[in-house]
Amino acid sequence: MLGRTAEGLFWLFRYVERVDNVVRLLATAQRMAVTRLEASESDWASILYTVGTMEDYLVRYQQVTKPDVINWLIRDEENKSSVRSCMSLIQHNARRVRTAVTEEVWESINAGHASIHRLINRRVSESDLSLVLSESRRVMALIQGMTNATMLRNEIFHFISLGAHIERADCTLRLLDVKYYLLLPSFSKVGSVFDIFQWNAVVRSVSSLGGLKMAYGTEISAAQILDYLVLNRVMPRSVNFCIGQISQSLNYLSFRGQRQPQSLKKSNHLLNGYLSSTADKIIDYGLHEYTQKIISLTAEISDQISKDFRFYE
Amino acid sequence: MSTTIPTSSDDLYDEMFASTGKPRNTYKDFLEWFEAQNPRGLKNKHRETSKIFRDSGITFRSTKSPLKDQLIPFDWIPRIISSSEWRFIERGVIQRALAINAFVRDVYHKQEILRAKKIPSELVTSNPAFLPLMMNMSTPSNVYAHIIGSDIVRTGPKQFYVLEDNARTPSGASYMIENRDAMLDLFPDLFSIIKVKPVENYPDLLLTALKSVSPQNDRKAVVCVLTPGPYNAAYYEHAFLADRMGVELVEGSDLRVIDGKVNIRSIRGYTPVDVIYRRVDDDFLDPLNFRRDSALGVPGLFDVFRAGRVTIVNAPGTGIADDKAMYSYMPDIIRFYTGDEPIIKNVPTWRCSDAKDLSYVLSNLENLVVKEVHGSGGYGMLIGPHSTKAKINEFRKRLISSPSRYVAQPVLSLSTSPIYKHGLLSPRHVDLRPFALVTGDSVTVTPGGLTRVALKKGSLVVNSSQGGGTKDTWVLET
Amino acid sequence: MNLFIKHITEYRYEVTGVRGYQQVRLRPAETPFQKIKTWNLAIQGGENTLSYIDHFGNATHFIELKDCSDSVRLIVETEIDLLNNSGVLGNTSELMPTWIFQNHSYLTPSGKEIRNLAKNQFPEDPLDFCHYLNSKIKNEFSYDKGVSTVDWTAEDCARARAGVCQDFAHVFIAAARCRGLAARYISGYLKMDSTDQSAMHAWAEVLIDGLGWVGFDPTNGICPDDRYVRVAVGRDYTDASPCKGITHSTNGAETLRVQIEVTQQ
Repeated sequence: MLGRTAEGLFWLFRYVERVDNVVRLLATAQRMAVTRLEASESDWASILYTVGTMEDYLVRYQQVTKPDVINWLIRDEENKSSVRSCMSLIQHNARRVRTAVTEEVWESINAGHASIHRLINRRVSESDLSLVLSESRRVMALIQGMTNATMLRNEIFHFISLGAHIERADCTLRLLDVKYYLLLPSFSKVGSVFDIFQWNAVVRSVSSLGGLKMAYGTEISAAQILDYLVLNRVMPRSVNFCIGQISQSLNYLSFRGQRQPQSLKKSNHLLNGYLSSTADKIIDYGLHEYTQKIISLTAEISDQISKDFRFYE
Repeated sequence: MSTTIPTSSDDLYDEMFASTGKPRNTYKDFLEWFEAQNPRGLKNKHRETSKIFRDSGITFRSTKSPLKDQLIPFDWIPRIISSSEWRFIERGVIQRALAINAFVRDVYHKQEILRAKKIPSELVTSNPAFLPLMMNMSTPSNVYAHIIGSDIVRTGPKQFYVLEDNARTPSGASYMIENRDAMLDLFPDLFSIIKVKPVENYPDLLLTALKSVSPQNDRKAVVCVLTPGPYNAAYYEHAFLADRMGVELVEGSDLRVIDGKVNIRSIRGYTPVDVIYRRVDDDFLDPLNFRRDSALGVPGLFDVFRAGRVTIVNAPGTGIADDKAMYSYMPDIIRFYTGDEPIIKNVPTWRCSDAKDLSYVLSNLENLVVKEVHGSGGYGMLIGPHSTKAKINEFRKRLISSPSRYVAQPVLSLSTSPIYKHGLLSPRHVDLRPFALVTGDSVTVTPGGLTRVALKKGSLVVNSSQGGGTKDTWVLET
Repeated sequence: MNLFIKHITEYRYEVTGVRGYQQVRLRPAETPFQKIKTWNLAIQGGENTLSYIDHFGNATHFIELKDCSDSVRLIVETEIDLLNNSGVLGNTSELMPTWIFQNHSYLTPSGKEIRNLAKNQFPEDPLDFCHYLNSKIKNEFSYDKGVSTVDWTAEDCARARAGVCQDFAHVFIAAARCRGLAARYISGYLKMDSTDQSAMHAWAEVLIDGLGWVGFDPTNGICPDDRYVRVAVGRDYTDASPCKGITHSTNGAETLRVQIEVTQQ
């Protein structure tokens, strides 16, 4: 496989996850805004912090308002991570790796790109928002579904998996990075119920609430939420799960008779050194420092993958 | 604006029907089948063909809309050629392929043809396609133009002409194969009634031909297809051929010269490649030796080629045999290198660089086709009988200001072959591009080739970039 | 004359890991008038992975820069025996047809100034014309390192009436071609009074009926003798340049240092 093809597959699916993530954050914020008595601009602002685009947004819009945030995240071409920008990159990368993916995957990308493009061609009003979000989720789900259903589990699939899981881990971590203060003991008085509403929303934007209840029951504590998002081995968006998948794929991609790739060493180090811990130990270590550390280690792994497999040279 | 050519039906050769209205032998079986079909069924099949092509993404990009993938229209009525007609065409194409290779080799060695004064030396000395870098370059088996597409037209039962030779990076083979695949899919019963020579093995023949010119000439030779990338007009074909041959499709940035060999950057490391089937133009192949600003090429590629450690197909510099001025001397070139008369004739050509020819052309512009010597794709062309007086006058001015840029030919009444239009068979002008593969031992011509059809009634322009379409070409087994 | 030449070429890059290649034409041609006794190319920071004879018959060495280096150094040492032929190389068996050297090339176009130099009232006889042109350039053009750039054409130099040996050779060649003569560019070494030089020398050769190729050095206004070492041949500098390279470096400049010692033995 060409290094360039691996790069195309890796990034194609990073962008698919990225769109999925932005759309989920928007859907959650929309739901929160609808079910609350006061509108809160801070909900929309926190999305901007989560996807790491607040600075660029302020250059363009100066003020955080819901309609502007929506358009920034969905349509603005100045925003390199907007749904529109990501869709272009998805299509561009798909072209480059056309022969590596199945017809079904190719068509789901092609058709999906056309359908989303039609919807976001004009400014997205608040009444259009639900439709845009649900269509985007549908398109991404179809792409992911076709990939899972039709692709052989060979090198091609594993580079796809690497891209998807790096991005997922990164997204979960960023969310945690912005909202971590909600999980600190100092935030909620001992014995009181902490801000369930806020945390329901956070978990909802990562995955379904049902999963959380299934895993931990109905009395949820901060520690359990932390465990759910970071340490859980069976929740598909938990950091531990994602890094575990990355290690598995890197194992598959390791060449017999050659040294373990650096990236695999790094992902195993992350698994054993940081992700086989407990929620309490993490709080003791310092939740914010912990999150930042894992974010940077994950980025290093992504970088190392591109070196190990000659994405660029 | 559409006009029909002012010729009588005696002058127009239709490949399906004789002037009496009776079907020709080659089409008897097909017409019997056609007339027995349910018209609604045929209409449905017709709609299905567009779907097949749209779904497989067989596309082309025209210079008019370079960002849009366009479908090349396919007409499912096969263009049928008898095996004896084909034998004649095949012999002619083989003769040309051998002559072209001998010519290119000679031009880059002793230039005997110039010393013998068989062609004017300016054709070589002033030719921008002449590459001094290729002088004294030997190639495996002395083949330079491994893949040649000669465009052939017909004006009568036994009258064929070569319209032009394409010896650089001829395209269209992928459509030839896809057209056959589509027909086999849509009309399997037809193929059990009518025995047609296969074309699906073209990629295997191509791969064998490519491997045979590897520097070490061994079966384990590594081949790749070098493409300018997804935004190139013919990208679809590059990807198609690489896929069917089972070789890597690479861009310049995937290749790197390491330890004196060209290598492919794979996830496992750099692996050497022996033969590069390149669809990148000469000028962009290597920024160290050609255009410095090319991002499509590989620095040092030509050095490795000169040192005999990689084979480039077609070799750089074959464009010397490709242009329309050289075309007009092809008969002399064929005679010089084969000692024989050309089997398939050239279209009579007036060279505007010659004063006598120029004056004839200027007085007969309304009846002639005038083309640029170094042009392609049907652009920069004047079709006299189809043009307005204003256009003709404008072209006249162009001709007078730089006559040596142009050649002129009579308007040929190309043969017609019917397309399926609203349930009926409606004649349209066609040409044929057979593909010749040249190895050290032999020349193989795939039976048939690509038939291009001018979809507009009466139009002579068959290029896909200007609205032409294609047909499946059938050479009958017997 | 017996000469020993040590030629050091060094390219320094601002960053390490520069990827690049060099095409080097530094091995003198064998002719009846110069015989190589020893020749050696040593490379630091790179490796010679291919060697071949190019389309003009020049011995060419292809060098790949090592990934980890920030400089590449070429050290060429040549021991060579020279005979004085008064510049007449004679009729040699040629790889290139004559017309290649009659066509104008990229750096030797035919412009107004060049055409003036080649005008018809000057000596008609080709050999006389060449001698005339040789002296004219020597006398009327001033040697000045500061005026020209590496992509200066013959017309630029003719307009400025100044330049270096490479430019004068181009002017000579362009003017000779205006007269329909076949002329070519020679890159080589010249034994001068001082042993140390910072550049190679360049002159021209013209194909004269009856004599064959004859050399002319317009920088010095003479024909080459046994102090001249012929290294590479071409239509102009681009064909015969001692080092032609390409690097993949998105930032950082490259600096070139050349040191040549030519000593008589």
